[in-house]
Amino acid sequence: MPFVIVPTLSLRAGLLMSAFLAAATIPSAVLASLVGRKIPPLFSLPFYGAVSTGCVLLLRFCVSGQALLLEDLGVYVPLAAFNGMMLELALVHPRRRASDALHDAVMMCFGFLLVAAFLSALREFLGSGSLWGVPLTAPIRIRGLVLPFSGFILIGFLSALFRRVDSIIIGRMLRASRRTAKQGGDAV
Amino acid sequence: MNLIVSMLAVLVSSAVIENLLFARAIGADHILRQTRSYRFIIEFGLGAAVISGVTVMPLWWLSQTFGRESWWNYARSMAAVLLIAVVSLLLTIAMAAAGRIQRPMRLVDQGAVYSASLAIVLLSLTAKMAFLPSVLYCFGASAGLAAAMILVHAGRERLELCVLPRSFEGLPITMIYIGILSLAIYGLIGHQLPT
Repeated sequence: MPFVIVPTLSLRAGLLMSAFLAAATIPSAVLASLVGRKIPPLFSLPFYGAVSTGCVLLLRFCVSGQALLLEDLGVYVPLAAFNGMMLELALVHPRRRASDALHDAVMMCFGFLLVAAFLSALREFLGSGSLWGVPLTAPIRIRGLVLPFSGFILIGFLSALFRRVDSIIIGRMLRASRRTAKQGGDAV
Repeated sequence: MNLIVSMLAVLVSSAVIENLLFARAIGADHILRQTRSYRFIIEFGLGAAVISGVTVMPLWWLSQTFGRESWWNYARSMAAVLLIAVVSLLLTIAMAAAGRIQRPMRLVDQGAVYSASLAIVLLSLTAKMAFLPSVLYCFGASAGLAAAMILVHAGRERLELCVLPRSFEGLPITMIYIGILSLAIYGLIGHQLPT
């Protein structure tokens, strides 16, 4: 949650943060499915934490040329090693097969990427008046979007929107299945 | 007297001005899913305070020794993770030996304590303060985080009694509530919205 609320002030920062989260989550999830049962529970969190931190630092070394962007992300880069997706897939509900772990980790990270990209693009466009560092003319400027509180509020409304859309889709599916069942019963 | 004032300034800035939850959203996911009681939040805060306070001591010394090396930025994070793991294990063993643990902490709760402690330690080292202010920063930040979580938990209890649109129940309204609190504290500190 903190990775999508505070550091997503520009599209580049949002995408880089997504990359760090993927680097922390995917290897740990796959490793947990392969060797998870051999690690005592007392040492599982330090083990996966160290693995995730190592992967994040490796990616940080690879993108060390983006010094300004890394400085903007600040403490969230090493913190990405203990994100909720990693804790879920490596510790709480490790998958039995590596293919399932890889699939779930990639899909979770892709979902995060979509949200982070949308939020960071919105905040950069309306808050800073640019997109991907290119100055653009926004119809309105809401400079408060670059502050942390706006991240919380945007996430709240975005989450409510997705729930509403989800309930509409599920409602339609339920009505369609009831209609089909009723037609099948009438036929009998 | 100056020393006391400067120490108080460090405590207040770490607890209020740079509050982990309202200014940096650290702990936001945990408070949404895992906090069940005020006692749990206080134990969480105490755990984070002890672990981060003890971890920052050797790390501060290492920062003074190797801080100018180019590789220290990478080694610092890994050293912090490993030290937090060691301190956490020692704390768990000590509490178990004293009979204070009735059942082991859930892994997701341990992960939240790790995450909070790591954030506090790294922020303390990044600020490049002297030894005592660094340790006090850890205690102040943990206390501020616990106080913020208590505020949000109290608000959530009241929100659950309100009639809300179904789409806003739970996570959405809590996020909006934290955002409004964050804005209020931002203004209370004396900041102004950018113009």
